[in-house]
Amino acid sequence: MSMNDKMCNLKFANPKFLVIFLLFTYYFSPITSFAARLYFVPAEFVVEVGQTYSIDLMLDPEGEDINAVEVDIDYSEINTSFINAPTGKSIISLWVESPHIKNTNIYMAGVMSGGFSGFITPLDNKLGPGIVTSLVFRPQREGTGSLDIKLAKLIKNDGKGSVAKVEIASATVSIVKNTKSEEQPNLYDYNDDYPPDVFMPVIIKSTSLYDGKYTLIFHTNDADSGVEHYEVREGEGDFHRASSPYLLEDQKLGGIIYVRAIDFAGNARTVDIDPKLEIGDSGESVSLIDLALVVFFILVIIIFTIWLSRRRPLNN
Amino acid sequence: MLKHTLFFTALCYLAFLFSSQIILAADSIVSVTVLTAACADGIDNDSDLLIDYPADPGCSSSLDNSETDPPPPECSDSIDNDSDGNIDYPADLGCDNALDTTEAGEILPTPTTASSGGGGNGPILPLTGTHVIFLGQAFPGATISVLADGLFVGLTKVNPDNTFKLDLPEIPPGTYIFNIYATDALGRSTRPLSYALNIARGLTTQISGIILKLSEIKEPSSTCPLKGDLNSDCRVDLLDFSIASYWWNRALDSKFKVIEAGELNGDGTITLEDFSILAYHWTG
Repeated sequence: MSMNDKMCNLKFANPKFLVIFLLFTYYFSPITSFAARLYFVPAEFVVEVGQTYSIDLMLDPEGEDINAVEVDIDYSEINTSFINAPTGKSIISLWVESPHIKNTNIYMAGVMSGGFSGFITPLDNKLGPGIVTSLVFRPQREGTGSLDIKLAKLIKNDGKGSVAKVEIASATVSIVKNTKSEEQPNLYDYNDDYPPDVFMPVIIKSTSLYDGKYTLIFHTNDADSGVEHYEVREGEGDFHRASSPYLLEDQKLGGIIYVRAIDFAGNARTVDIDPKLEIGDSGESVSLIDLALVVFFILVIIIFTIWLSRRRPLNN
Repeated sequence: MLKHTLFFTALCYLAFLFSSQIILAADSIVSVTVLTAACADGIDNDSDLLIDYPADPGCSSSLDNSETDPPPPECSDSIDNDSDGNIDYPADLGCDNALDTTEAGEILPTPTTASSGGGGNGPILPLTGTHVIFLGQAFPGATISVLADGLFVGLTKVNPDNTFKLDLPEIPPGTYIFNIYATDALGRSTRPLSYALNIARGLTTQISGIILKLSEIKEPSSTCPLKGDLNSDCRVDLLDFSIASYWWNRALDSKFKVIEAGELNGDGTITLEDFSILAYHWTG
């Protein structure tokens, strides 16, 4: 509070009700927030049974610079089943754990490399909130309940891992009777005709990963609905679900490795990597040395054999 | 007297709240402009009462930056283009219809829309796809790097007048956190500036007013990140993030405990705070 404001308050007369009034308006005024906020949009929602709908979890830094987020959401009161969490519009750069069910709640943790101090709107260049994730639900039965944030941890972008103050707000969801006998149209449309972005997987060998075994690293983005999952295929094998870092089954790196990213709308992007070209410096060079040694020994044997064959006639 | 005091107090209080609002509704230091093509701006740029693509025949697509109509085809331009004494369709036998683009000969009726490709002759913005342009100033000899969601996407050298322009052509549209930083001749980098933006498909988004100062070099004595470099390659990137992710919810072994103590917060486990340290020292 500035000196002028203090001077103003000195002029304040005694009446207690005014003090209470001012304190009340000070703490509950929407424009005097001093912590980052996590909340839902819309905050109130009315939907019919069976009608799929989406709610966005928003982060407003309110002047803070945040670079890591961990949230746990209890949706048990809203009589719905959780479908998925499209992350295409998310401000999260990299997910430590993308939104998923964990111990009956929706859990997520991720980082924003370089920090997030607000979403810039081009018209006025103001800093505003960003979407952490969308949450898609399908109502099961009538009733009203709240979507509650049970854990909200925000870390400041200060290089020390300092925890930021956070204010949270719940959403109220009212599920009403289905007014039509036929299936209700979904209120959520992925609206995504594009596959995830092109990406380049990397094979690394680190003593800090799977005891130094060959490991595949991959990551890509999908602007519209977000990457739902990845699949990996080694050589002639089948594709199967995978997450990065991925321990390669074939440690001899015998065949081409395929990585497929699939978005929430089902669009897929498949890329491949030739381990022999990728490893280059370490794996390939070791192989060349081995090969050179083999060639050397073969040459020695051939020369020795020729030398022997030339000596025998002389002995005879 | 009491009334006046109350009035004055309320006035002061409102002023305080208002000033709080100004502080909290922070402005971005940079200016972000989305450049809209003439064929998608909702304006009748060529005054032909037709607006934007596809209504205006001057627009070949919504990315076309001119609504100026193409010239009429030769067979309806009231000119004797082939000097045979006949003008336009049907008088000129070289015209198969009024849309025929040539009066010469008597073959090849070519519809205007297909041959001209539409569009006018105005200056063409780099709107073949989705562009992001960064404009700003840095120190002499600086190299400017841009990361999008932590991944390296562009590099440029600062101009002799210390300005720079970095164009990311054909970047996939979407929500991004861009980090931009400058590196000096010794390889030392400034703290990255961070901008969260939504990049619209097919449009050019321009971020101007970026200032990268030599005084904001992160670590004057080192070209390597102070922390977060888990694989000792002098970078903090997806590989370090992957290593940290591997140890998330896992007991650290003795080797990695040493690394964690030196490069992260040293509490013997991988937590969100450690990922925050990685994100802070991120080099991409």
